[in-house]
Amino acid sequence: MNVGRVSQVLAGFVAFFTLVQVVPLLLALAETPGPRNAGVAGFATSIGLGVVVALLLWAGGRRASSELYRKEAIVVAVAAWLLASLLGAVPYQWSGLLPDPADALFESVSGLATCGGTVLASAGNPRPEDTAHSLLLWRAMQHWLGGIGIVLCFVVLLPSMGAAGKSLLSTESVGVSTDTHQPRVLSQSRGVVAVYVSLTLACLGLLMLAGMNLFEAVCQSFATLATGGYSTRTSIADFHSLGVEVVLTVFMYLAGCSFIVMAASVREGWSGLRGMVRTSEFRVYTLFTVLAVGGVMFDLMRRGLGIGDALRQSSFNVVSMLCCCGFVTADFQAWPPFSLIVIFTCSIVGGCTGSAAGGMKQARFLICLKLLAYSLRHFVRPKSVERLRLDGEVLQASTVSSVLAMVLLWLLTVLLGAMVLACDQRLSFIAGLSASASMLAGCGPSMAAVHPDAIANGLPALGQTVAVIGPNIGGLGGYGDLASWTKLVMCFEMILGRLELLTLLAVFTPSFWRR
Amino acid sequence: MNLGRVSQVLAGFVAFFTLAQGVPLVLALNETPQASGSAPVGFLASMVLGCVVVLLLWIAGRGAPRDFYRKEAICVAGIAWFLASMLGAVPFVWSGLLPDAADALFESVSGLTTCGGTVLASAGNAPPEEVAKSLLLWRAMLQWLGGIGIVLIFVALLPSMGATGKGLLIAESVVVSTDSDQPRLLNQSRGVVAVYVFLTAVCVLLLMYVGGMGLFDAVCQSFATLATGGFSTRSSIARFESLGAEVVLTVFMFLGGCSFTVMAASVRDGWTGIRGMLRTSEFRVYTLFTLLTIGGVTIDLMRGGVSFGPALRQSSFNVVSMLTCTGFATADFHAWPPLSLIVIFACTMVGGCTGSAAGGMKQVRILVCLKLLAYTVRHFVRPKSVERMRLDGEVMEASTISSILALVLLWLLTILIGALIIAFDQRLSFAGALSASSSMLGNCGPALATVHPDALANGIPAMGVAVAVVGPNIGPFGGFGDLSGWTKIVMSFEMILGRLELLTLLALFTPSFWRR
Repeated sequence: MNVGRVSQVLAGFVAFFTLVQVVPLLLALAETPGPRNAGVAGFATSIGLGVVVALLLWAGGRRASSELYRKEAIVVAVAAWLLASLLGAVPYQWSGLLPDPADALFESVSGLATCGGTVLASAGNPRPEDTAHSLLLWRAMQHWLGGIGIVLCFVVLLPSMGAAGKSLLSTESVGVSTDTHQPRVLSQSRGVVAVYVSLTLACLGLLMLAGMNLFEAVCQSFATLATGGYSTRTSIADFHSLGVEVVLTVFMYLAGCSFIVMAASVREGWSGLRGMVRTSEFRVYTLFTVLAVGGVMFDLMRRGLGIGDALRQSSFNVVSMLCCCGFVTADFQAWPPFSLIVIFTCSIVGGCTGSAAGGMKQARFLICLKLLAYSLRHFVRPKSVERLRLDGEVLQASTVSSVLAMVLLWLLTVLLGAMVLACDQRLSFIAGLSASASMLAGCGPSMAAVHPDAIANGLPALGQTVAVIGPNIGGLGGYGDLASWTKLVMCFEMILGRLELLTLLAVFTPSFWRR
Repeated sequence: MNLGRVSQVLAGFVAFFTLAQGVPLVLALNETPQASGSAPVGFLASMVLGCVVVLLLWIAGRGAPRDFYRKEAICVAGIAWFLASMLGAVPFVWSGLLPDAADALFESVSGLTTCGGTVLASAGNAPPEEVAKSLLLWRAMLQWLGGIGIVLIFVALLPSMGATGKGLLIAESVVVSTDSDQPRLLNQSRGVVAVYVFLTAVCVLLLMYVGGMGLFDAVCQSFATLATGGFSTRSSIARFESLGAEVVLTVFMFLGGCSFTVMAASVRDGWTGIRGMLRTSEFRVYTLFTLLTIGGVTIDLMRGGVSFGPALRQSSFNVVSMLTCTGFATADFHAWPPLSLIVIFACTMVGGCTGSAAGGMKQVRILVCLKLLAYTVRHFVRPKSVERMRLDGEVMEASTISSILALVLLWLLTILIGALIIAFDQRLSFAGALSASSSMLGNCGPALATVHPDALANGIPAMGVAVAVVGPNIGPFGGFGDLSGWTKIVMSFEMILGRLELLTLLALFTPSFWRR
């Protein structure tokens, strides 16, 4: 384990992370300070601290050899995430916005992991509408950087991930052209960043056309492409604009597609795009989206909503939960049970591999379905010999095994996380379970226990909150009321899910550190 | 597919099933007309119908060759379950107890699959205390026969189940003595039935002398306990007001979740055999799981304000009941704190040991999954390491592991799809639909309804006290009668699906199964 080299790489990373904080600092200088938004103090301190940390790391890594293999890459990924979370929390705390360190850490982790669950608008913390612009920009930037960061992590780490990596690679190899002149990793990274930035700009432009001002459009598109969930308003319904909702729905959906495949396809023009549309993962992702949106729409109509409203609420919120984004226009806690089950499932399944969307990822879901069909066929005709294929490539038994194991590990973690969270007895059975699933998937909103009288009143209107029992951890609420240890557990779960479980668990295994 | 032979075997099975109805008929005839109501008519008509069905099946199967292989066995298992469910429902309908056909079918399926969810005590149906004894006995018999029936089916089918079967056999092969003089199948079957009957008899005696129950109650209760069913002669076990009965039932529910095939094999070897059984990985993980869940729920209840004694009493009974997917309840656990509810929900999915009548995914599959997860993490840390997974010393093939994993995933997916369908009834909550689906598939019984917030504010209820719920009360002190007819039919299908371990039933619905 070349700790010196790891230290060097981390120093560079922290330096970059500290440098970007200059942008919100400049914005803070232009604002008037208040009791809860001493932005200048917050960012200045944070930048100072970041410089110190970068120097220490650089000093610790001087004269280290330049070997950086798989183990070192895993340690860098995990340490970078932890460091960024801690350093990113400093502006929130020292600006006075979130004086509770657990709150500040939660907000920072939720930003970087592109979760979107917030402690604002709860437990005495101000709502986003009342928060300083510099801090809102920092929230959005954490999303945007965290989103591209995780995609790049996996571009770099994927070839060395063994069986799990090979299976995920196979879904992307359809569109990857073999360019032997440039190293594949560098080439892919550039492509991915380019796609990410262009889509963000496109989203920004369209949102402004739909009526948003520049600042809000920037924050919103940062959060959308990263499938984050932080907004400058409590709910997207507060923008009162159908155009905004449509734009966001489209770009949330795109943000759930694989940036890696998009980057490779775009280079080949139209035939590349046609190739991307033909990948199995994209198809199952689209089919899942259409079915989920349709199902929820019919369920809402059965409850009494007109088709237009039902489609509007269903498409936005379901796509938001499927990509594990977390924006809401309706307080879906009061929706009928069918819709809730669909939404819960969406937050577990998630978006495509190679995107910043959370969840188990569609490729794993697809492989599971294929295996189930295979098992049934094999049970019926035990002597038949067939191989599982994905996009024409044969899947090895070890690959299938590791994908299945990952799915099971995911579900087991949701269950164990729910048990730990349920130690806070104010949460209901469903609140514990949905919070655990939401944090692991990087989604954002959970489901609190709705008061029966509120359900009897029928479906809430767009943007209207329903009365809940206990802390309101739903889409229009926040996590501020929970105990500090609960927030810490949730932070751990968010990072666990972001790093796809194994990466973080490996660091906790003793044999990882042995020679 | 030798349909003729299938028909013959089914004829024999239905004949046995019809004959068994003679017992409650005799009981019904011996009761006063006021107490029994139309029960004698119900059973008589049902037996006549049964005879007709037997004759038709026998005629259809006359002259068929004696080929009877794997496909025919799967067919018999699936169809026998459907036939028995429908024929078993007839006494309920024609005695006037459950005039609604969906209700009667639900009760019958719930009996045979040893689920235990009942439509009594809801939607205008009488509670068990007011039902004729002959019908209560029939409920208990359905469970007892269903319990031993499913164990025998798997004894017969297991060797031919391919990869899944081999995996499950490994769990039992540790203690199975190889007696090559007699055919293994017949040998095992006799052993299993002997253990089953013996344990039932002991349970009856203990319930009468330690628990203070009357003979009739003890018989019905033991029938349901060894089968890990859930039907009782009272609305809740707390109504017996006997700590002795609760302890006896807890012990025998736990035994009901152990593997009868392993027990049968072990007993033949005497004490060394029993020590061998205690050393099987499945038994160990089952015991450990039981202790952890009881401990966790006890501590959670104590945090909720219940003192240690009552907490342990409520926790041990109800958790063991839900883990073995029996379904008896002494407390309305709706109002328990969330950690206990999650534990209980997980228990309905995990279930008992293979080779028992307990429901759920079965402990050995959970154990294999946990082993695989540990292996995956180790392999991620050291990708170049080569190791094989072992269970009780035997190496597990990749195909075996794959098929076990696939079944676990299929189970979870079925719970989800079942929940989606059940959720069409918008009176149920998210938790209600999910827990109902899991409970039906796992053959457990009770689900979770929505508790009224005022009831929650009152804290954890005392034993035997029901809490106020919003919507249909599908919890341990309620029933499924208030749900719509199609919901009950969907649940019945889920119960049979879970009982036959998914693949067996799904195979019947696959076109390629029926092709040559």
